[in-house]
Amino acid sequence: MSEAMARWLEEGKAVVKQQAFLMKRALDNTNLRDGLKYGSNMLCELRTGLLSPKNFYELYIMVADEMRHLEQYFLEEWKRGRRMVELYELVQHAGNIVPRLFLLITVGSVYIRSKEAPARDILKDLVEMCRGVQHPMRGLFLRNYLLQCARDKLPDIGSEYGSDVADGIDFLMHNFAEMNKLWVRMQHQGPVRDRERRERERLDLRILVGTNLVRLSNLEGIDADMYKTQVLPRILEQVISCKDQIAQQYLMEVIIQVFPDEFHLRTLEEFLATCPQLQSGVDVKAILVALMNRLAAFAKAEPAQIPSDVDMLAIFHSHVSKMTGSNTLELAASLDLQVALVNFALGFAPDRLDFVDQTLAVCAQLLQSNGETRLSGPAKHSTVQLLKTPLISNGQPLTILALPHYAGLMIYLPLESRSEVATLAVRMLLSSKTPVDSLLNFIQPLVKDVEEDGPNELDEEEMETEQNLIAALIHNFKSSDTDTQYAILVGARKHFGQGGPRRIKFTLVPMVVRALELAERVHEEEEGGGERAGTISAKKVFGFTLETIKGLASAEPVMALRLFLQASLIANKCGEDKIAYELVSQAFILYEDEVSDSKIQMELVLEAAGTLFLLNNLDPEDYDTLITNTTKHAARLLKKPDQCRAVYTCSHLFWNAGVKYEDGRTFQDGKRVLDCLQRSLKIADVCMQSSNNVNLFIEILDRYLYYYEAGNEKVTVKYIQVNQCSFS
Amino acid sequence: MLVLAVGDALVPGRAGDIPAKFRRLLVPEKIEGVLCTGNLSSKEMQEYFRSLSSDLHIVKGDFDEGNYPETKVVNIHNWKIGLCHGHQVVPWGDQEALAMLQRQLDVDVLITGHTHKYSINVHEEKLYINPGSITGAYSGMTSNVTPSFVLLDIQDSKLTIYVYELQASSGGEEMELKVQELKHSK
Repeated sequence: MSEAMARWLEEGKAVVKQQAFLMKRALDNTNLRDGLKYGSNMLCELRTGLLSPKNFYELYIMVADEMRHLEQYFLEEWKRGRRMVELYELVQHAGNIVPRLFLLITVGSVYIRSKEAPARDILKDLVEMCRGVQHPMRGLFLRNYLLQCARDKLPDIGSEYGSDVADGIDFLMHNFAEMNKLWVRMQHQGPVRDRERRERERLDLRILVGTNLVRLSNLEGIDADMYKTQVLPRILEQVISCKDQIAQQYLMEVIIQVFPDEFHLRTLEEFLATCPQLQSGVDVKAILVALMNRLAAFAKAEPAQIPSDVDMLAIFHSHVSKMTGSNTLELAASLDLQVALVNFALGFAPDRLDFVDQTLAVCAQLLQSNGETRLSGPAKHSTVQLLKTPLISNGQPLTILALPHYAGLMIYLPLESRSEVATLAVRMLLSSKTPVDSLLNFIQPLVKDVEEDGPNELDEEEMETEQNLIAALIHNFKSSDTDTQYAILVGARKHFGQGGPRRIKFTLVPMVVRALELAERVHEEEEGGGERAGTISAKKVFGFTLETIKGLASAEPVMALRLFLQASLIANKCGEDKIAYELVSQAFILYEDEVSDSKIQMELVLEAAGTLFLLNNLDPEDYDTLITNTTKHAARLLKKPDQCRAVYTCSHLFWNAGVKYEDGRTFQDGKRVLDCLQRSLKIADVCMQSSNNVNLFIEILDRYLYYYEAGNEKVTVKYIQVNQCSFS
Repeated sequence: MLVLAVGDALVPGRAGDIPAKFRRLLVPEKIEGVLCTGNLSSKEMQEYFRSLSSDLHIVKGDFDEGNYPETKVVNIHNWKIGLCHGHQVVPWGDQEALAMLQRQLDVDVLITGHTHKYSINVHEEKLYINPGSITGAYSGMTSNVTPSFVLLDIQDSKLTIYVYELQASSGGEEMELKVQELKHSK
């Protein structure tokens, strides 16, 4: 706000304050003549042409507030027996037209309340009289004051001021037409160079014009028929005839906003037929989109209210086609229209997926003729919206799988946008059962790299977030039928197997886990006896598991090794001892060929020992082979303390009551337990020479005690005493 | 002081997420520390538990990539609490083997995981806690894992242990929350 403007406003406000004070004092002394004089002085401040709309509004609010005192006084006069028609004539003697009309409206308001004359006539008189002010801003605010005073006095059904709603409509339509003319005229006043400022000011004032339509929509007496025959046509007539872009844009949107959806549904043809008649600069697309989105929301909330006799889809489809066919729209704008159409169709006729797909097909054509292989800018944004709409529109993300043209549109998006859509799809799908193959095809950008995209530049963190999501999804690939479950896993691995080393690290682990779970289920079915529904065998599932883990072995040998060990536990549980043996052997191969980090070697030896201890279904000879191998690896670890701890840990493998020979003897070889302990003791001795590692002795002593108490006859008191001497 | 003992989430390798019923129970204002037996296995999980309490202690599980210690001892009030995932303690889950670790660490309470089966044991006056797997993650050792975790109300000479478990109810897929309360003192 410029300094001068601020000063003018302050000066105006000061005068208003002063004159209002004098007015109120006069009224307190029941001196109406002076009251009116000071009131007029105050109102004269509204004759200024110096203020911007916002500042003028501030002044106007202040004045309107003070006018309430005057109105109150008029009301009291009437209660004291004064005839309002006299006052109504009296105030018309005010010298200047602006104060005169403000005063007239104020008296008119009380005049209507007095019911000395019908509200209809008084309102008609007032709305005509207001024509006296033709200065746009002053005129707009004057008529706004009229609207405000008349707000609770409009003839309407159930109103005490006349029950014929047509009178209320007439008044509002009349006022609306006049205000719109004033508002449009602003555009053509003043020099061309001020156009931008003028348009800004007009936008500031639009709500004054729109208020008429809000009041219309508040009239109780208007039903859909009346709206169709008496209200909308008159509004649209004004909209078309004003030939003003700003007014048309605003009013069309206000119509959509303020009138009930039931009315829109009955007047679509009328409303839409207006669109081609609007000025060329009007954004018809935005109007259509607003209308469709509103109706779609309505259809979702109140499906019963949709009239069955009107084919909404056909109506909108033909209008949208006309617009996109005219070649005047940008690609993004055309797409936006289609997005709204899809949203509309999903809301209105959720079962008409053919229509949605047809719309997508239109988009595919648009994109094809556009010629870009990967979109950017607004068109990209619109396409993303297009693909997101069916996912979120009716809470049934699976809808997309019934849309043949859907996935084809994805290829026009650059990788990050495709991932964005795919990620949304995954989030939406996480809780639902899904045909896996079509799903994975769809979320392909998250599943594998495609050459045309060039190198995938996701950083580790983004990749991890994305892939963790996919991994979580895999846990939801569930079927109660084991054959189906197997088919799902086989199909899924085909996709995930192509993901490249950065992805399979995340995706194949849950695949293996699901496969093991399935193997266990199949085994239970097999054990259950009787007729099985499924034909797949546990062996076959283990074969699949083994292959899947192998697929991970070159990229992530340590992870694969751990999975082999995990898998051997399940195979053992299922009584598949040969498979368990094979799985552990695979783990050893990886250990020997691929693991060179000594710290990880130590971890793996302990994990192998822990696993082997539980493989109670192994043939004792096979078990012997595997634990001997493990112990060998334990003794070969790089660091002496690691060797020492790993070897005494392996001692437990030779004292395993779970593993049994055919004759029922348990695999408890006291001698070899002792060998392990003695060996670790020797290593501990070596450690002591280089550093004071007394803890090792304590740990070993603990083992001696453990076996002594467990009844290992080879471990005698003698060893325990010797051991104690070592660190005493 | 209320402390959460938890572990073996294994998200996303072996489970999709922490059950919603647990998430609703776990609110940051109440929990003053988290003792984690490891195998959270993803950053998201670690961040989740850090959001419950910044006083977060984690040890290394067999499916953890981070640089965590194998064991950790935490002092809370008068209590020495030892933390270890447990896959290093062979035979897995064996009481005597765990007792050796308890003696090594010289702790009053030893919290371990790995078996995916919750257990509360007192052995030679020491308390052994296994909070199980909070996601009910699939395990080679335990069939039909039920999701569980443990809350410890730690006072100077008294511990109250709350075990939260989600059991499959007979009436379908919905899981039923079961809470047990146990007391322990030195």
